[in-house]
Amino acid sequence: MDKRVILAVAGAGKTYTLCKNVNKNKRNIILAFTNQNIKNIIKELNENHNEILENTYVYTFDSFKYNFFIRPYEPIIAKHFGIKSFESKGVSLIEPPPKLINNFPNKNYKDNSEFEHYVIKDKYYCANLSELILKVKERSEYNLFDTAMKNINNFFEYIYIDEFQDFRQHDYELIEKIIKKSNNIILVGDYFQHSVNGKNNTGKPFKVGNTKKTQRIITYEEYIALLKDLKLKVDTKTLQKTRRCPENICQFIRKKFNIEIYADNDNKGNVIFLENNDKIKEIIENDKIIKLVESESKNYKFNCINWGYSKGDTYSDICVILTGRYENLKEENNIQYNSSINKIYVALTRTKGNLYIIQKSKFDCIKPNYKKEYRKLKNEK
Amino acid sequence: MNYIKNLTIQGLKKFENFYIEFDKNVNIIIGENESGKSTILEAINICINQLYKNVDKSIIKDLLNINNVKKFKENPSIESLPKIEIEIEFNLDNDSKNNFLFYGMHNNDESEKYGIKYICELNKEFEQDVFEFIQEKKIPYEYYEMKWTTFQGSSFNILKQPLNYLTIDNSITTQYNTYNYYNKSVFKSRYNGTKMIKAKNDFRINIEDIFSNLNLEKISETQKFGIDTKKVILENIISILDNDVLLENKGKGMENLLKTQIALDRAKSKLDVVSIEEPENHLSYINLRKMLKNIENYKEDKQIIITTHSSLIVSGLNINNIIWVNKNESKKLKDVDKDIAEFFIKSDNNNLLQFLLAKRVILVEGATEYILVPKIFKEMFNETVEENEIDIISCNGVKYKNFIHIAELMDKKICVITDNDNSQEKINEINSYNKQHCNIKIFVDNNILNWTWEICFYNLNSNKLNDLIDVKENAKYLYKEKDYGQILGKMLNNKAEIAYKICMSNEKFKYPLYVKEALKWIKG
Repeated sequence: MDKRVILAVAGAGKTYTLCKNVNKNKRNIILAFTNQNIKNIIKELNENHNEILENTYVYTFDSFKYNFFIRPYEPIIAKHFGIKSFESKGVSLIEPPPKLINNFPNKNYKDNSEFEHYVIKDKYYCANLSELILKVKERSEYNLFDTAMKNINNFFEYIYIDEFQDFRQHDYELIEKIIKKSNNIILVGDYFQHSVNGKNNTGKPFKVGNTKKTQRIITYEEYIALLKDLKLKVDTKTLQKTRRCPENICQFIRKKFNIEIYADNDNKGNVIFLENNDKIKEIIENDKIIKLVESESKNYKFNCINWGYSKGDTYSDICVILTGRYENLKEENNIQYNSSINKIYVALTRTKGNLYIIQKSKFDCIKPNYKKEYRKLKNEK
Repeated sequence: MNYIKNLTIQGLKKFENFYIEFDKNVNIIIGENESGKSTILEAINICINQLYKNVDKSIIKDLLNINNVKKFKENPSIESLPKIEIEIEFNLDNDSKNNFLFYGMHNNDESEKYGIKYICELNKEFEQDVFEFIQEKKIPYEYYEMKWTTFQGSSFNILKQPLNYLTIDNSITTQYNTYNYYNKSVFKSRYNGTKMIKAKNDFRINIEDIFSNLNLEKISETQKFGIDTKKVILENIISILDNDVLLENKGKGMENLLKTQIALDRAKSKLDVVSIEEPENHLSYINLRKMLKNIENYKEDKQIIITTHSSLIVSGLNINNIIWVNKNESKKLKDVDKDIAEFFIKSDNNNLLQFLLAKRVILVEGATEYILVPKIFKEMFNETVEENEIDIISCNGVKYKNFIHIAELMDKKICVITDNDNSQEKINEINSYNKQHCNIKIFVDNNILNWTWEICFYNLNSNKLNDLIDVKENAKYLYKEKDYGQILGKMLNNKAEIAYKICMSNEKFKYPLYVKEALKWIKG
């Protein structure tokens, strides 16, 4: 039994390491979050092994759930809900009706004990696939999860999961079960990159506490303990060093946020706080340097991207425009950890060269010059 | 091991509702003409090779079961439109590529297994369009659809095969297509995907290069000849050479033998399942023996499915492998004692196939009874044995017990007419056997003095036989060094010849009681 989680720092090469770990003589399945991730994985696999791996399959987690837990066992699911027969035509990306609309109960909402909670016409709601898998286990004698898992263990010797920190709530619960019942499983993830993008940024496993008062985000140490409880070997060493950020940048991040990131590269670069207005203008107008803004990147005329969306990207030089919260970043050290740090952490670690930083107050002075003027554009047309 | 476990056929040709289970190694399918042996292989082909996927819908007319068509015409409606359903179940190894695509509960009994389901039925989208057809009691073939789904519930992509399957059809005479299918299949299973694709690609590029290197002059400023690469697809023009001779030029028999050999050698062909339709066609006795030896050698590592009319194949391979097909049923001869199975392999008994296919059988000791029983039957009932669908089979030295053992495993009415061999013990044994069995009865003369058919017969008809049979003066006609008198002595020494004489004579003879009882019982 080989059950491991490799916790990485930004730019350590998670996907690269995952693909390198794949043994081409075994039957493997690699699960990723998005279709874009799949493309990267297949590319890395081919480059790493110099051949097409006949026995390695790559699926998104959603398509894995549908094809390995749900579709083969549809008669059981139909029986569970007392339906004569059901043969689905795939998965729908339509969001299921919310329980409440403006705090009023939604009459289109179906309770999770009803088949329609999971299904729209002849397709399943993608968002509720995990819940369905867990549900059919709960209610009927037939244990859907265990049966499917037993077969998955026959089909594959190793399961790999990329970007493990991005799975939430029912997805996370399902992965927890998969970890417990699988023979060999290797996960890679970065605690400090959770809750950075996507919609479902709250909930299990990162949110703890039941009442509003006690609710908080679990700490790195608690997270490791949680993984150890799942009988996973937690590897914090292999991917502790970044292949992207220069050591000066790493040192800066360690000092400010207490996140253990070290450089394993010869990249040169410095942290440069821009004070002078001319200098700020020069950097902002230099399209070769990408600007990372907290949000609303589409409203600016210069080359920029939102912090959240930059995840996974690498740039030669970057310029991060801070939010008000970090106005005193230059002086402040040992900032108390909270999950909003993850976003700025992601932003700061995109560079393999210099890291330029602009305070909010400084940016606000020149901001109007760089706003896109939609109304004017319309009038011109 | 990857192999076909079973096949369920509903509404295809002969079969309204048919189920057949396969052994993981050798399967010998026997049956009368028109019993549906070939339809079984056809059904496998429909599932695995998506046969008929790209042909005109009019083919469906030939595929539908006649009874289903009749039922529709008697009671025409959307619901009663005939349809075809075939389900094939596999055993797939854990490490078999793409196995999970075939695993699931989308099958008739909604249980977890590997397989493919084929359905040919009216496309539901056209239910409203076929109203007129149905009123006129016509089947709207053009509105039918064929669907291949895996038990996982996904549609079956022919490029992702569950196992490597090849069918060798020796019954069809030389046709470009049959060769091609064979060559193509061996080519595809022999080389893995990337290797084959590279070969195809290199071939295409090189053939264009070769042509352009011919430096033919242009037709005009803007026009020149070039190669239409669609017409020179590698797998369409390849062929197998044996010692530099094209397989198809080797003579039908040799070709069949070599084809089978190549297909069976797993290390070379990488096939999991090979089906062979009537391998005996075009093969001499010696070559058929060679082929059987081949099958024997390779049976351990692949599944072989054979349809045959050859008794040599039936007795030459282990009879435990026999499946016989009759109407809507398939029956399997399992659990035949090892000794008896081996006995039939060695004895080369030509009657085994006939015995297996027969409905009712009279088993007799040898030539005398074989010649005379039909005559006796005709005289007793004024009907022939053939009219009563009774087969007479001569054991020819094989102990009838071996046949009886097989009959016990089958639901078949058998009577045995035998001699008591001057043994009270044998008589007792037979009597107690008869008490325990109702479908199989052994008939014997209960007087040990009447120890053989000839003696019984002579005792009843001595006068007539004295006239009928010529003897040489002074000749002793000793039988096993014993003197039985001239006439009986000659009868014992020349059984077949005398039987023939009796058969052809117009005299009215008396027949032994146990023989008459036997015939009465078998006629029922």
